[in-house]
Amino acid sequence: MSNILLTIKTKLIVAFILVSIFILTLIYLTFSSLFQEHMLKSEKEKAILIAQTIEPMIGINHYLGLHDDIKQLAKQTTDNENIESLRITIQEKEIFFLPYDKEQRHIHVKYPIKDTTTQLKIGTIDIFYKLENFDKTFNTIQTKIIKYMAFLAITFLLFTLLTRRLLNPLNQIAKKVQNYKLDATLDFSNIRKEVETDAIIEAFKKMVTNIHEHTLLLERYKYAVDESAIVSKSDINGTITYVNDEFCRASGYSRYELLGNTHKIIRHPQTKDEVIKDIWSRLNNKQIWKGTIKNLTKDDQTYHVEITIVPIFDENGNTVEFISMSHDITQIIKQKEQILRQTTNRITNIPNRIKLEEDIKTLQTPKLALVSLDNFYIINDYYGYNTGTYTIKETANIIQKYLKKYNISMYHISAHEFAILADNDIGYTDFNDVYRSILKIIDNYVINSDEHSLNITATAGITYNQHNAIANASMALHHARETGKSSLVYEEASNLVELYNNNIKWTKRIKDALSDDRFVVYVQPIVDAKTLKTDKYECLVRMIDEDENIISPYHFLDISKKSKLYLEITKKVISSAFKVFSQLPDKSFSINISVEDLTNKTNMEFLKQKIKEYDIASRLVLEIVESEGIENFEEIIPLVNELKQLGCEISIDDFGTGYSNFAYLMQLNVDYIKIDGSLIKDIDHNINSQIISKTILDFAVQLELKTVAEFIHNESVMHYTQEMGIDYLQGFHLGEPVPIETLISK
Amino acid sequence: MKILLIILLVSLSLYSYEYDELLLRAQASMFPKIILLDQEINLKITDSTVLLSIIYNDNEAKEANDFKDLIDKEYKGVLGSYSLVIKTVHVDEFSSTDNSSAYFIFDAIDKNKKDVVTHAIKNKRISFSYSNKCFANNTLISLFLKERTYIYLNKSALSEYKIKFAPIFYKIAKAR
Repeated sequence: MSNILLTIKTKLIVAFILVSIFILTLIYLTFSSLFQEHMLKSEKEKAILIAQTIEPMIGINHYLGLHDDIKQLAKQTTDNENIESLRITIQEKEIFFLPYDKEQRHIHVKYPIKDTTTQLKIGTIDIFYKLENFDKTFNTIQTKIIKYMAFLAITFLLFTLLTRRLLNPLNQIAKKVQNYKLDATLDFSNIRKEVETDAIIEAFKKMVTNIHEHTLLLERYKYAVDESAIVSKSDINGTITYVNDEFCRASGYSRYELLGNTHKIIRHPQTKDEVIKDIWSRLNNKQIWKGTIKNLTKDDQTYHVEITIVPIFDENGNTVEFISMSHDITQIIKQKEQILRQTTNRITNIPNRIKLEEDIKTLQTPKLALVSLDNFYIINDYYGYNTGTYTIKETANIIQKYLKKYNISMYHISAHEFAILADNDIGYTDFNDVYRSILKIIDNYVINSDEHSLNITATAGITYNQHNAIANASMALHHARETGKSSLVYEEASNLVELYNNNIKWTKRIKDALSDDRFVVYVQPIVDAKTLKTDKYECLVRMIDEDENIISPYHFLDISKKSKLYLEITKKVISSAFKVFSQLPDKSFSINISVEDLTNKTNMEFLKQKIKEYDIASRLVLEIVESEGIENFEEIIPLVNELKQLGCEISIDDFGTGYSNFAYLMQLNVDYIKIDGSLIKDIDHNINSQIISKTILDFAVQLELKTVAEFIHNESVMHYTQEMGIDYLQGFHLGEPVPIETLISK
Repeated sequence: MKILLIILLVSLSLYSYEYDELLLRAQASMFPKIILLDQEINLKITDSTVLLSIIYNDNEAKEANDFKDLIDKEYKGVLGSYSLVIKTVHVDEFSSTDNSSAYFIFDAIDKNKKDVVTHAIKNKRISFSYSNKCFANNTLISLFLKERTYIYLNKSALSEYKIKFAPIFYKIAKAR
C-alpha cells in the first residue's frame, strides 16, 4: 500500500469533514430513530390508553346487558379525531364497527375485553389510531433537526477555514525549513505573526544555530580524525567511497585508485579468510569490529594497522555504510618482534633469562624454581649437539605441556636450565607440587632421538623472594646438586644462609688480601709429553691469609667473581707473572683468563698494555677458563682474535666437561686444548674417560691443536697420556705449584 | 330493543299494573348481576347461593311474586358461578335475623320497610328499590328507564352501607 503523504492541515480538514459528517449523520439518525420510535410508542400508548379506558365500560355494559350503552360508548370514542375506526367484538359478535380508509396511515391496537366478574376474555376492541398528528409532529422535528445540522455544518466549515488559516504559517515554515541548506539563511520575515509561530520560528533559529555549531564541531573532529588516523568509508558492499590523506599515504595508493575499489586492494596475502569473514559477520550483525590487520602497500610493503570498523545506520536502523579508523602500528609491531626475539630463547622459542628478570620485577612474591638438567654436557659430548638440542626441546615441551593447566610461566634461561615462575594465585604447596611433578616427569621421560633412547634427570633450586631471586634459586640449585638432592628451597636451607655469611666473610678477606698485597702467583710446570722437558708454566693464583696460610683459589675464586674482586686478582696475577717471566726469556707461561676478564674493557686494556710493555706475547698462552659458560661467542671471538694478533696463543681450559659449542670453538681459533682433569685422573683405568679423551684428542689433531693433559698424578696416568699422543702434561706427579719467585732464584 | 319494549309496555298497560312492568323486567334482569359486583359477596352467601329477598306489603304481594317469576325466568336459579334463590318476604314477617344476600323493596314505604333497610345497612347488604323515591329511606340502588337505562346509586347512603363495589360499577351508575 503506497503511503500518501498528507499535510497536517489537509489531515485536519479531512478529519473535520469526516467527523462533521459522522456527527451530523449520527445526530440525525439518533433523533429520527428516537423521535420516531418514541412518538410511535407514545401514539400507540394513547390508543392503548383509550382501549383500556373503554374496555371496563364495555365489559360491565355487556355484563349488565346494556348493549346500547356499548354502542353509545363506541360512538363517543370514535368522536375522538385521532381515532380512524373502532371495532368491538364480543363473543365473536361484532357489536360495533366504523369503516375506515385503508390508505390512511394508522396504528392498529387490539385490546381484549374481559368479563366483569370472571375476568375471562370475552371479546376484543380494535382501535385504528390515526398517525396524522404523529406525521405532522415528526415532520416538524425533522425539519428542525435538519436546520440544526445545517447550522452545525456551516460551523464546521467555518472552523475548517479557520484551522486552515491558522495552520498556514506552519506550512510556510515547513517549506522554508524543508529547503534549508547549511550555508543558507532562514528568512521567516514574510510569515504571519502569531504567538505560536513566533515560538516555532525562534526554536528553528536556535536549532539552526546549534546545527551550525555542531557542524563546525564535527568538521573539527573530522579534521582531527583525518589528521591523526587512517580513515576510509565504504558502502554496504565494501566499495570504498572515501579515504583521507593518511589512508593514501599509508597505502601508497592515490585517492583515484582507491575510490570505487574494495579493501582487497590493500589486503596482505597472509591475512586469513577467517579474519575477513569475522569482520563481515560482525558488521552484518551491526556490531563494531576491532582488531589488528596486516596490510600491503602499493609497492608491496607490509604495514600493520590497529583498526576499528563501525557500521553507520539510517533512521530505520539499516546499515548504510561503514567507517573504518585505523592507526599505523608497524613500528610498534616491529619493536615488539624485536623485544620478543631478545627475550626468547632461539632453540625452544621460550622466554629467556631477560624476560624472567623482567617478570620477577613485576611480582611482589614470586615463586621461582630453576630446573637444571643433570649432566647435560654428557649428552652433548656423547651424542652430539643435535641430540643435545633435541633433548632440550623435548624437555621444554613436556614441561610446557604439564604447565598448561596452571597459571605458571616458563623460561629457558641457559643451555640446560629452565625456570618456572608463579605469583600469588599459586600457593606454596601447589607450587612445590608443581616443580616436584616436573622433576618426576623429566625423570620418567625417555627421550628418543634418531638413534638413542636417553634418560635424563633434573635438579631444582627454589626461592620465594623477589630480592636476588635468580641468584638465590641458582644457589639453591647448585647446593642441591652438590648435596645430591633433587631440589632445594633457598629459604628452607639454613646452610645456604651460612654459606652466604661465609661469602661475606670471604669477600672481606679477599678485599683485605688485595689491600695488603697478599695475592701471590704460583707456577706449575707443563711438561712436553715426549721429552718430559719443562719449558712452560701455568700461573696459578694463591691467597696468603692473615695467618700466612696459602689459600687455594677453590675457596675464593667464585666469591671474588660474585663480589667483583676477581678482575683485580687477574690484574695482580698478570702483573706478577709478566714481571717474572720477562726475566725468563726461554720460558713460556700461561695465565687463566675468564670470560669476565675478556669482556671487561679495563682488564683487556690492562692486559694489552702489559703485553706491549713487556713485549712478551710470543711466550704467553691465555687459558680461557669456564669457556663452556660462554653464551655470546659473537662478542668473545673478536676479543680473542685481537689478543692473537698481538702474538699470544690461546688455550681452552678444562675442555671436555660440558663443552657443547664445538662450532664456536673452531671460530675461536685456539692453539691448545687442556683436557679436563676429571677425565685424566682415572684415564688409565676408566674406559669412559679414555673414550672421551681420545675423541677430544682426535678432534684436536684434526684441527691441528696442541693438547695438554692436566691432573697427571701418577706414573700410570702419565704413561697412558703419553701413549695417547697428548702433547703436554701437567700435574702433581710432574711438579707441584710453587711460588713464581722460585723460578728466578733457580 | 326499543320496539320490544314498546310492545311489552302496551301489553302490560292492558293489566293496569301500578308498577311498570318493563322497568321491573329490566330490574329483574340487572339487579342480580349488580349483587355480584359487591366485592365482598362471598361473605354474604350461604352454600354458594345468592339469596335475594323481595320485601312486600299487603298491596304488593302479586307484584312481588311476578317480580320473583321474572327473575327466576331470567336466571333459572343460576347467577354466574352461584345458585340464585329468590324469595318473597312480607314485610311483617321480616326477621331481624334474616341472612339474605340482598333485598328488593317496592316503593311503598312504611315503618317495617325502614327496618329492612336498617337491617340491610347493618349487615352491609345491598338494598334495591323500585324507584329512587325510596332513596329517602336509604335504599341503595334503583334503576330507571329513559332514553337509555340508568342505574341510580344513592350517594348519601353509600357510606352507611360500607359496601365495596367493583370500581367500574361507579362509572356506569348514576349517583343521586
